[in-house]
Amino acid sequence: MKKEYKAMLILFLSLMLILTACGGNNGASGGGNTGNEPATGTNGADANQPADEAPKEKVVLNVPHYKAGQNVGGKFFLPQVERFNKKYEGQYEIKIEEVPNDAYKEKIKLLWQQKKLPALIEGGDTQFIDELIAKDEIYDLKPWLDSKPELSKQLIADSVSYNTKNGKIYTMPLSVIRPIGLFYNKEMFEKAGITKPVAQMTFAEFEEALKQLKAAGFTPLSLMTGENAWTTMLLASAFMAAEPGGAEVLQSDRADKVSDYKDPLWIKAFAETQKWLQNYTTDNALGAAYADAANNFLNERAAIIANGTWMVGDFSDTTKAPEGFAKKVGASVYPGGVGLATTAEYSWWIPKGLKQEETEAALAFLEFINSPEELEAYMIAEGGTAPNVQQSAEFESKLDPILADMNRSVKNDMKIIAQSFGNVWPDQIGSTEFAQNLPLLVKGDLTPEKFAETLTQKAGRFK
Amino acid sequence: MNTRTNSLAERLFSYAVMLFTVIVSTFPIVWIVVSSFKTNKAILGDPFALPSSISFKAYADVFTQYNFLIYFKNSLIIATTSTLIAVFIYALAGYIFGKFDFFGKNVLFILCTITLLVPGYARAQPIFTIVMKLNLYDTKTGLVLVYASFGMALALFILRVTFMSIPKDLDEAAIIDGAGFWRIFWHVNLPLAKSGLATSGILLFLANWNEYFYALVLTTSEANRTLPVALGFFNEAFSYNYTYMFAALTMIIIPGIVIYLLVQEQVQQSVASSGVKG
Amino acid sequence: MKDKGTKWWIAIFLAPTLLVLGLFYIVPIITVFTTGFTDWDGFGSPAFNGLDNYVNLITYDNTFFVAIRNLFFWSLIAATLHVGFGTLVAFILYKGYFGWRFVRGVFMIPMVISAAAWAMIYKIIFNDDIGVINNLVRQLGFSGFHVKWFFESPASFWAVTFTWLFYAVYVTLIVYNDLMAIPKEIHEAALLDGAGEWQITRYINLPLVKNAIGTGIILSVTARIAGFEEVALTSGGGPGNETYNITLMLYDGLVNYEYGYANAAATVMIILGVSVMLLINRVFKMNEKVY
Repeated sequence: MKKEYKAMLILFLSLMLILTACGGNNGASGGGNTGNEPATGTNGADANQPADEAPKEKVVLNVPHYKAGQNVGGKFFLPQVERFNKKYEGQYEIKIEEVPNDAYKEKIKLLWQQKKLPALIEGGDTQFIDELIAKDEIYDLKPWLDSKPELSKQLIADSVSYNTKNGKIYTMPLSVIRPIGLFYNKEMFEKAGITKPVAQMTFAEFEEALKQLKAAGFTPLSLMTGENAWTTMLLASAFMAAEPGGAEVLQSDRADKVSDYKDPLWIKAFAETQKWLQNYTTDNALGAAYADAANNFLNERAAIIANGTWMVGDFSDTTKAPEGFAKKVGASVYPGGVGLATTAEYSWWIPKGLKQEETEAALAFLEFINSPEELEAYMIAEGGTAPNVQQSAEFESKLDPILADMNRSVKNDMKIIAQSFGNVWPDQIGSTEFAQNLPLLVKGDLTPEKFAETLTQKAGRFK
Repeated sequence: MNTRTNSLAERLFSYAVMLFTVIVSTFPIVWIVVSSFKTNKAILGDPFALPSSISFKAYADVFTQYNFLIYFKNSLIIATTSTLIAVFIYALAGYIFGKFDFFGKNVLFILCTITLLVPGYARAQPIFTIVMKLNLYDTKTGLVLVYASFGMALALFILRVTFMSIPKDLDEAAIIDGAGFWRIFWHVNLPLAKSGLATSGILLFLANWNEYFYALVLTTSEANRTLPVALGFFNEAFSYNYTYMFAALTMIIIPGIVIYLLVQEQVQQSVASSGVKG
Repeated sequence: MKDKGTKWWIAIFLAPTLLVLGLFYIVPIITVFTTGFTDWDGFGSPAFNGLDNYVNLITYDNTFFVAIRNLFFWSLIAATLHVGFGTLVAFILYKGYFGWRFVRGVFMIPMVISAAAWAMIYKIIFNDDIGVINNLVRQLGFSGFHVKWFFESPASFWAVTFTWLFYAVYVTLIVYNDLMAIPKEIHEAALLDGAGEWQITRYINLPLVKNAIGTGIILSVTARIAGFEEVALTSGGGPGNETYNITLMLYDGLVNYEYGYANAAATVMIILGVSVMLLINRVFKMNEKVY
């Protein structure tokens, strides 16, 4: 018995030793922090790093990012980074460190507190970036953009004005907008005898169409109240934007938050939401998560889902949808010609205080992803339109038919571009309170007026 | 434990409770494993049906996309080492809290147990700072240290009670034999506390095995990634892929259970063989 | 026996724990207590605002009241049914019936399943359409049974409760542990005195494991006080604020960058937890030895 304990003690001590040894070895390979990696082979931490034959030092940026692995964005983003690395081979290299989406913003904040921000960051909490802007800790892109007229002229004006603060441009303005619309099942529409394009309907006509669908034996809408009630929220936003005066409340470059919902405009939107949820949606909408809502549409249990173009890949994924489903899907902006998009959003930014060559590498990357070829590749993969960029001749033919459908709808029928509720609400209302109170609205425990009042009160707590 | 015959009613009741326990405990894991063989539409459409065919494609894909073997090794090293360290240092403290009186003991004990209630977000930033200062960012050592700090309250609760229930006469007898403080702790008390040490060790190990947030925040490179972080990659709302998520989950849960069962067997044997009870 | 040497040993034995406490907990504890009195967004500099956060937390609407009410009932259920079940299983395992090892092993499995997967499983189990519970009830003849568990008023409290009610393996382990430590002589003496099986269980074993049960209650009640995922990932605190608890209020603060408010909520949480610990300690006389 004594021996056993001695053995355990020895084991314990040796483990401690091993650990300290390990710690000593790769302890300093710190951070999203960037560094020039001189290609001397002594530290074994990164064994697969071949000796650099080029004599001049290569700039390596370690960038933590969520668009990797299973993330929807990764499918396009990772090959894009590879293309960048190839183009600047021997000069710059970007290494993506995979971070789960839900932890990215938190990680960036913690890295900032340690002064270890990576050279490239995409987005982050608005409030946090505002603070950094106030502290002037972000690299000003304006001089650089001014020196690149080709690049500057393709940026969207609204986005430039949103990203300009105190005469500086802290965050990279956008060249592409991707209005969110809806997808519908063409086969069901046909069987229900709906001929008018959705985008050309008014919301009153839209309701008639819902009735027709229902009469034909289909569940019209794929709505949800779980998570942040995403698909429900989108449709309600479009409804409000189509109302007179609604688009002003939701205008696309509006950056301040709305925390009073007692205006009749809001109440009307909530009443419509109540009606949809009570009459025109699936049985499992109550508490449904995004996956449930998507599944209902993908497996032809509902005729319409409101969602962005990133969903297109799922239509032909046979683990999620039946074979040949993609052919049945049509895409459109909302009734009333409403498209939902925001230009009041921060995208890529570069922290101040990097080494000169690191900043140059980061800028090279921003320029690269905004080159016309890359923008086009992006739009082919994920949808969207770039109003100020000339598309190549073969662009249309390379485009997925559903994305092409969406682009046509945007081009021909979109009359109003507005933000969704999620963009204009304080985070708490958008992420929890709206969804949490929907079951009460559905059951009739809350009238639309009372619902509006409840949300207003919830939003008032932190005003 | 008991040779006397128990009444039939009691036996029936006992087996009913045991059966119930087994059902509520295995149902979730069985469901996860079964679901990992189903397509997304089947999981969402008919969650309790059996898979229509058995395919290991999800496992193969998950396995080729990510270096699960490395993560498994990391998880094993980190969870084991931190558990051993934690059990050791909290056994020292638990022994004192269980058997000795000193000025401020109760206040200190409460302070130690408050740690159970300090919310995670409040600890994130100070812990991150310390790990950075010690130059342990993105190292296994950093995680081991942080994990060792987690189980404090739980381990102290269990170990204090354990040491308290070891009779003091044994200590006194040992003193008369001329044993010193360390000897009394190491040779008299610790062997008798084995099952308490094992209980706290197992609970801490499983908590460490599952820990996600700090593993994520404190490491970046693949070489130091643990299993739960890899699972985080599959938990993407907009690209939901439950088949893969459940396959990944199975690959995390099953080793955890196997390790636990092996350790449990070892521990029970050594507890039984030491034979001394109070 | 307490001499100077012993004092040193006590200090040495406590040192590593104190070091961990100092390194990893003191700063957060102080931050929580102090910034509860400030307006703080989590990264800027905090500005003192007195009791504003507490006033906002407690009096703004009925959420705090609801949270405390839920907490009270959940704690009560945890301390009685939950710990009771864990203890029952421990006593049954102690009897050593056929298959007891298997049961003990299997009971531990839920501890290895992540909260996200756990919540998903329970949401499906309680789903009206496809869930086992409602389909079972409907099979039993109540064909009109359509309770939307997590999303309807009284049901959601119970649905959340069921996600943890039976998972008391740590209580089982602690109690079992203590049962194993009961000296054989005590049982033998009782048997000689003619005590029956039930009497030994009730009058000897049960009192002797009271410290373990007390520990189990403390752990389970504090788990309810500090519990977040079991609510946030299932009912989300809804419908409305029906199933709110303090940690959800705290989380609302975080979402809104009101770290001062969040830390005020955390302070309330810690105070509640410590009160529970002291109370249980007193009720179970846990500082006293049992032998």
